[in-house]
Amino acid sequence: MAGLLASLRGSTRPATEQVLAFLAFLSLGIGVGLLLGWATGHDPGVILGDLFEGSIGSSISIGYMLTAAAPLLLVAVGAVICMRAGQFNIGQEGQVTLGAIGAGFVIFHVDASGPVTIVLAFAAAALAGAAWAFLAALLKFGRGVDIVVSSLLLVFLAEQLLTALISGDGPLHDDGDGVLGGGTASQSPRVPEKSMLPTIHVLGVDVPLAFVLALVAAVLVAWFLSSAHAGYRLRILGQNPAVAGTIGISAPRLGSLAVAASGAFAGAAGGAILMGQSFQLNPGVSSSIGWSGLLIALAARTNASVSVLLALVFGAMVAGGGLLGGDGIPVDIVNVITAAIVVALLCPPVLLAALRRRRIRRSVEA
Amino acid sequence: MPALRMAGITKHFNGVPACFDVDFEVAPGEIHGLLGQNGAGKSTLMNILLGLVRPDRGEVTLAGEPAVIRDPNAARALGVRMVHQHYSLIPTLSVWENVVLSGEGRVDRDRTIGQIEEVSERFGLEVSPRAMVGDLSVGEQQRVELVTCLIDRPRLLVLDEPTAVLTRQESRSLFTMLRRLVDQDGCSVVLISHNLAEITAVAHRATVMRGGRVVSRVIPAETPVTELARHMIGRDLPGTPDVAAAIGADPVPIAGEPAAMTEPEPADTEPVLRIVGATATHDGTRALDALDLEIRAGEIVGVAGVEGNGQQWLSALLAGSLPLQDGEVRVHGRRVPVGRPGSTRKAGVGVVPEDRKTSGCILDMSVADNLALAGLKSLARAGVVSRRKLHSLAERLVEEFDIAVASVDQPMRSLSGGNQQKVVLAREMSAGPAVLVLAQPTRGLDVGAVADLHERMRQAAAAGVAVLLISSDLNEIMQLSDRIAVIYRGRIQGELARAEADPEKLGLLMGGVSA
Repeated sequence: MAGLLASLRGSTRPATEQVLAFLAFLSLGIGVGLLLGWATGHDPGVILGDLFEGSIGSSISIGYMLTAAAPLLLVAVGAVICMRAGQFNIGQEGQVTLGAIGAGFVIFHVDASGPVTIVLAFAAAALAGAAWAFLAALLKFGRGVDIVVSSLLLVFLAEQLLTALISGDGPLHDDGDGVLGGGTASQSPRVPEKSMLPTIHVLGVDVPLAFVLALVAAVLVAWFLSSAHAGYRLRILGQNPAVAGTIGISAPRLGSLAVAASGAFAGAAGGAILMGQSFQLNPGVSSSIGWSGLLIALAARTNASVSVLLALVFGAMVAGGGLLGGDGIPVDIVNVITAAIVVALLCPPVLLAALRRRRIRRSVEA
Repeated sequence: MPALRMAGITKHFNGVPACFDVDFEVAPGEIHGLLGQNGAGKSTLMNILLGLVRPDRGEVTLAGEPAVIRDPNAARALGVRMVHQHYSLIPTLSVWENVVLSGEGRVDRDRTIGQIEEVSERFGLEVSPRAMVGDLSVGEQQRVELVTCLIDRPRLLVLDEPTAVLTRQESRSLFTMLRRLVDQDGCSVVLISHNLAEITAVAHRATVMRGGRVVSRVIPAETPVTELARHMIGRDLPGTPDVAAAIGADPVPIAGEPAAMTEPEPADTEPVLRIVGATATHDGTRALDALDLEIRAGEIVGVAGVEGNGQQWLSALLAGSLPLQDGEVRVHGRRVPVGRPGSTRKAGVGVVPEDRKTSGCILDMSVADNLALAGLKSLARAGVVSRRKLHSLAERLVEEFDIAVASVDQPMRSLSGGNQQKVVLAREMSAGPAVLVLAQPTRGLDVGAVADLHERMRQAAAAGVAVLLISSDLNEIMQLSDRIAVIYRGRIQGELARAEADPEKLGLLMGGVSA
């Protein structure tokens, strides 16, 4: 949590304010979401109970929540990097898909021991995600194509690529013993037991390895952006490309690197999904985690540490939402609550900025 | 009866008079030159005529009728049109669509195209109505602006520096067209320009403004160019003694007396900065045109000129952000690959740009970060920037350059313009440059800060830095420069040692006349 603490550095008062504002608006968002649930005829008490029970109600629930949060956090951390560098790569969803494909090739085609397979799979996932993102960067800096457009369109291309690879004669197609429709459905074989991500037992909770990796990544990226020389250069490029140019920063070079890095993180998230959650490639394997991760990064104002908190909230919603179906409540209500939370969480920075301005004004007047 | 009479026009901006008791008259069917430097009040006067600015006092009379002009639409209804220096065309629309946009009523393509063709035929303005504006050259775009104005059959047409972006050929055809306009249609034309030869050639009469007042009314054809130049620049060139004293400088000797401050280096020393034949275009318009400039160590060279004559591009070139099509830049004899990020900085050129907010600093980073921007690498060990070193550097510079901040962690955005300028200056000067470029460095600074800045420039020069001062403030140029180069349309029109610079020579050079 060093990065988290670092981001809250300064005097303790602003830190307390940040945390309080975050919690206050989080509650407000949940409240509004529940209100909307109530308006459509569902008991807010039951919804809240299920969400609580399914996310942090038990050690197993916490494990679920962290499993769901891990890929979201990885995507968000990557998005923070490229957004800080001023490169609006929004194609994380496609880069997640490519990451899953890359991991799939290693898992289904490389014969190695479990740990080696996992390491290689993550490497392949990151590489595939980075390469996919790099295409968009190449189009931007080589041909002047708007990266928002190119990275977005590459998402659809990635989906087609995945479907092609897991169908018919595709190299990742499940040829026989699939659970349903073996040999005909567009899906890969199941991930063998040895390549499934392990968990680490901490304080009675089985913490998934993917979450530990994501957390370490978040802390490292937060530190990198604030302290490393390259991190400074990245931020300078993002804040003012004209100034960046005069101090010798090449926008095409550094910008492409930032985009590729964001793609690598999204790709790693794809690997984490395949080896930690879905255990099989199917057409919807990315399950909008790329979009949600991007949303987390933006709602966290491209702050890696705040992204940790938001990823946990999103993870809690996903994990808790699983219980709603059992009570006859449509799972869609979770999306409504999540949306309300995101909107509510956009408020604290504005509020805090206003507070800061007032404080500066007072100190100037004093 | 004059076509236009503006009487007793006074306008203050924040207590500073931009126009003071200006009387201005244009006769029917004449081309009237309006001459003056930046800040002379020409634009304010015309903006008042167009209804863009309300005067504090004064009256406008059009053909004997008192006119109240509240906005450009009212001006148009009264037959007053203006072609601004920066065109207001939409590049993704066709010519006829742009023409329609400035009109009223229903959109009727065929009628509009007919009108465009008729006007372009009558005045010899070649314009194809269906062409996309973005595909047109600057000269063609100007013709579109003109056609848009002429379709309304105005009785008064104002042109703001119309030839600044035109080739000689295009300028000539513009003037032919203007003569036809005044002769055939009896329209009056106000031609804002600082090009003396141009005014002499086409204007029937001219009004010269300086410092918000009218200083003379002349018939250009009968007035020597040198006299026009003198009127434009004024006799009190190096600043009235009290102004000079206020900024901490002794009144600088004018022509005749030798410069006292720094001994110019002997001419045979190798120049630190040498620009040869620099030619560049930007967005299809000429930015620099075979510009030559040399500066030696310890020398302050002032680049004077009316704004918009390539100063910003000279500054961009030396910041390494303008690639050259032809020519070269050498520092200490070594060729600099200009246009490549950071190329000139690496060669030892420090630039304090004119638009410090957009290209001098990063508003959302802290003061400390901004001060360290250029030397981040030296503050880093194993790729990690040392916060301690960064802070001590920032504290030292804040102290040394007297920058008013509560803390060096304060965001740059929260500083006043003057303090932002000091931050940029502190950064560039502390980097130990071989060449220091300052573009309009005192703009927005208070008197004390200006004196301080000038002292620092002298110190830098005394320490052997080659200093290039780009300024449209002639007082500043005269006070500081060992040598004055006048820039005109992207090239150096002429150079003067300070001792030989006088208002007449400067005025001629700034007006595009070779001295």
